[in-house]
Amino acid sequence: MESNLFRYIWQKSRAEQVVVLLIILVSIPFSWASFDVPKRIVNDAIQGGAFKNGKTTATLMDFTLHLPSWLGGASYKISEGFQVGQYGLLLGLSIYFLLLVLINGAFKYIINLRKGILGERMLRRMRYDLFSQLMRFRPEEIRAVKPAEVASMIKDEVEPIGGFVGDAFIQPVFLLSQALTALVFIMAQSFWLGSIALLIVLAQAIIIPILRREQLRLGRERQIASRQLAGRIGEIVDAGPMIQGHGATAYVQSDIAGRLGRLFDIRYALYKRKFAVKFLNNLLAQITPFFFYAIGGYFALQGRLDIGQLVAVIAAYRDLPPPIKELIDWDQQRNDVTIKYDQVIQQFNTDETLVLDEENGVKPLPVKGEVRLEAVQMLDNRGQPLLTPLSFSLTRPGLVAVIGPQGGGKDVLGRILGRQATSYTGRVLIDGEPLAGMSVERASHIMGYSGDEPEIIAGTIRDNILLPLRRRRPDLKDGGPVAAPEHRRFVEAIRSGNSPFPFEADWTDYAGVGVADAAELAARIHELLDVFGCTHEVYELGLGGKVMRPVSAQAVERIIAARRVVAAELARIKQGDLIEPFVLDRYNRNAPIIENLIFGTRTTTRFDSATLLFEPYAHSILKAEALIEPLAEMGARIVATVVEIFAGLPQGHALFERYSFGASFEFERLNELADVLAKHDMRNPLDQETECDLVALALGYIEPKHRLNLIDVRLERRILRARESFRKHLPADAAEDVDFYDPDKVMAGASVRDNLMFGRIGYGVPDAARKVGEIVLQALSRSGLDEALYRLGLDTESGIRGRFLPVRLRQAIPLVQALVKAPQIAVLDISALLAISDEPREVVARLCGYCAGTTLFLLAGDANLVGEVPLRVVFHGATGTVEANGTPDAANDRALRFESTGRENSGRMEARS
Amino acid sequence: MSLESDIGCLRCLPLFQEMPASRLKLVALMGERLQFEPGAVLISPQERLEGVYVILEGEVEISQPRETGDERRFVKDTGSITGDVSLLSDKPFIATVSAKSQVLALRIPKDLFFELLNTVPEFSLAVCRDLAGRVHRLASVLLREHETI
Repeated sequence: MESNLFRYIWQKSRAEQVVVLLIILVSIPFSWASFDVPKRIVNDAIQGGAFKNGKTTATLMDFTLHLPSWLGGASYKISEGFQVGQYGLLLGLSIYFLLLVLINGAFKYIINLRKGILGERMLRRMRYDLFSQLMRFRPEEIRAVKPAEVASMIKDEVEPIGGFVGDAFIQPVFLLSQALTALVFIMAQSFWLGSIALLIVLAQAIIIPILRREQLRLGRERQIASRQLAGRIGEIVDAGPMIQGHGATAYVQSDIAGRLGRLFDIRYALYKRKFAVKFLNNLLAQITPFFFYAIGGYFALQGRLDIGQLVAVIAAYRDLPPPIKELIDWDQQRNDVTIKYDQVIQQFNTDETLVLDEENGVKPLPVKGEVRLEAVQMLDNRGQPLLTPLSFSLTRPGLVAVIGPQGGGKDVLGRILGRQATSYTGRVLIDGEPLAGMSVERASHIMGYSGDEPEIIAGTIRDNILLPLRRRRPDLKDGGPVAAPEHRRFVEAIRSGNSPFPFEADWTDYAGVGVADAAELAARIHELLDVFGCTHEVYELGLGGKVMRPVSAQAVERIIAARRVVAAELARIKQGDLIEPFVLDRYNRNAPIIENLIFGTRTTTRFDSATLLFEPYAHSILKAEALIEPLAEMGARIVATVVEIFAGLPQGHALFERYSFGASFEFERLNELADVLAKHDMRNPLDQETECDLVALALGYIEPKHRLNLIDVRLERRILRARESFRKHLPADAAEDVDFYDPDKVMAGASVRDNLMFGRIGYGVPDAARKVGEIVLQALSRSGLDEALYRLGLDTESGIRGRFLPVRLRQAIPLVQALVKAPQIAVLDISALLAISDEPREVVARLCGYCAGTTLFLLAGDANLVGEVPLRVVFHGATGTVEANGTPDAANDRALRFESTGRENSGRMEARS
Repeated sequence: MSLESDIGCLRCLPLFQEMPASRLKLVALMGERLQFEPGAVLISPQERLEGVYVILEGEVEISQPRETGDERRFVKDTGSITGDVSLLSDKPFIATVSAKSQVLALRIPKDLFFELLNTVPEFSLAVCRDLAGRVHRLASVLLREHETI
């Protein structure tokens, strides 16, 4: 990026700056006129200067265009004007003055607006440029930057620069023009007064910047210190749980406190400076009127200056100090942002950046070829070897197993091949072309890499898997006429030098990876997940996915069909007690009381069990059935039992959560409730809060789960009666809050699993959840819903670093990412996946089968799992040994030029030098 | 069957004899109470074990096919804990456990089992005692066999 701020601004915003400059030039005469009018009002209209010598009228609105003397001095009368009396003149001139005020205001508005827009555009461009620059960093450099620092630079530190851009050229011109207008005006009235004003202005302009130099130094220090603070906080947050765990919070807090103290000291010094300078500045500005009154008054008394002139001078002087002051401020700001810009740019200018895009598109490699490593070696920053020189070659397509423990040369080799590490010596040649020299685009098309530190970004699983394919620039031409806002967005993006492609467009490169459309791509993803043995997980996620409105009629039909299949299947295998279905006139013992009461999905929080008692309608129903008291009593017994059995266990215990009652009750709250109940006098009613909590506890109660023997047939019957009246009298405004269970209706807002079971899994049946899961899956595939379920599964949110995903899927997604783009060379670290896989050998076999036409570098920890592979590189620490399985011609490079020992036996070669 | 009867069953087990009542209640409440028909398989060596079983009622049979073809079977009755060795050593269970009669079992899932070990000292002590008793029996059996040879 351009290292000089002013050059950068001028290059990128020349045209707009010039336009604003021109507007300013046009505004100057009006500004001049507005200085001139007060003089005329006082002299001509009030003091009657225009009516001397017996004239009773004066000419108003005559307008003569004078050519300057060097153009011949001719004058053209444009308007004759009209004659007015003294009052008329006063009124006319005053209105003229008002008009000028309005015009000047309008100019100011336009200029400020344009400047603001200009600044924002530049700010947008600058942030985008910085971000693009970041994307060009070498992978190691990206990893080395502190995210918080970079974010603070892109977001906060350039902000004042953006504010300054609009002012960079315009402000000095504008202010100088204002100040000069005022100064020349004063000069024109009285040379002496003008000289005094000029002298003081010069003094201001020279002394104050000198005083401010220290201020700037402090400002720079402050910037660096606060950036470091941001970086440090970012680091600490990353390691937060660990720091808590080790009880080092106080230590870390004192670090932050120290940094804050340092910031305070800098700011304190800054303030002292700043206000001292301000004081001096104000003093100088206010001394001038003293001279005006004293000297100007003296002149006026002597008659060398008329009163009107003196008033005008003082009025004009009112306009002089602000521009000067602002000009000095501008200079200060200029220094300030220049420093900021240098500071930021330094961080972003690196010697070596990557070439991002290929100019003429990417051509695939020929089908056959060769991959050759020549003395590839990597050292860490202390000179210790991470990878000792390694040379081998293989014909493409081929298969190499790279075996070794985690953290050794295996990972380093993977990173080198995957272009995640670039600071190595030696060469990796693909068909003779060095890998390091390829552009990012070309390498990303040819290579697929999934390493030992898989990254999953927030978004759905599908977003993550398709990320490698988001490489086709969306087509901007088709689509006919563009909507106005879209057009505006586009133009504005171009003006700021940003990418004009809309983020929402389809960036997927179907053709480049050899599929025709989205359906084929979906099939490929399905196949890949099958390869890694993760399809089941996706289905599981799909089952947990919610059925959301609007549900198409076809989907409803299918879900209902599948629901019937599930019921039929259960009946067939005589496992009817696996699921207790929802039946309108029967109490479901495996569901909590709240579900039995409402008998529907709650789509909003209105009928949450935690606050049900405060909901007027629900309260009236419970009251009508006289359920409040029994439920509260139940709650009290639950509290007593839970407090008894969990007493003495650590706080927030997982066991306690396991025995939960639906609502999120803290154990402390239960203890409180127990205390309240112990002190409670049976003759008085409970306070509302306590009653509500007790009822909420009871509402989460499931007899077979909690087994406190609290529900008898009579209570069940009463709850059923409440269910009926709740349903019958439901007010119209609550229709959206509840979706009643109906065997022929989809339960919106409930998970797919719940929709298909249409009931609750029975407690007390071994492995019920797993069995039901299997049956549900079968039912789905039988009713043709498995694809939809699969899609739903892929729509699951993955969370940062995939924290919402099952562990196997978390490992598999990066591998699928690497393969979904159909690379010609794939570098896959499968050690983590194999470690948690049920059938590691099968996974490897399927993977090798899938990648038959691809050159595959298989990085694994356990050699036994990989099976027969013609070429192996086995690592012990940083040193790799190349082993070929009795087929030397296949892989072994006999003419290893970099071999120093040259020990050759046909099957085994040392690749160490 | 109510909680009280479960607790009664648990209390009868030598394993839990010394546990205080509140902890016994905890174990009874936390475990899953499962019903097995005769012949149903509780544990099979092919599957990864997901919990330990405490047999509350009925008899279970442990069978292990041998290379010679015949099976070695023995019957374990009420009051034993099964699967703890396998969970603690992280090795697959070596035999098949199936219900011989109608069996009522309390399954303590794996994570709960370890949580109980971690947080309820009485429970860990009880499991240790049980294990030690079995090791002792095993050792004495082995020694006696050795002597006879």
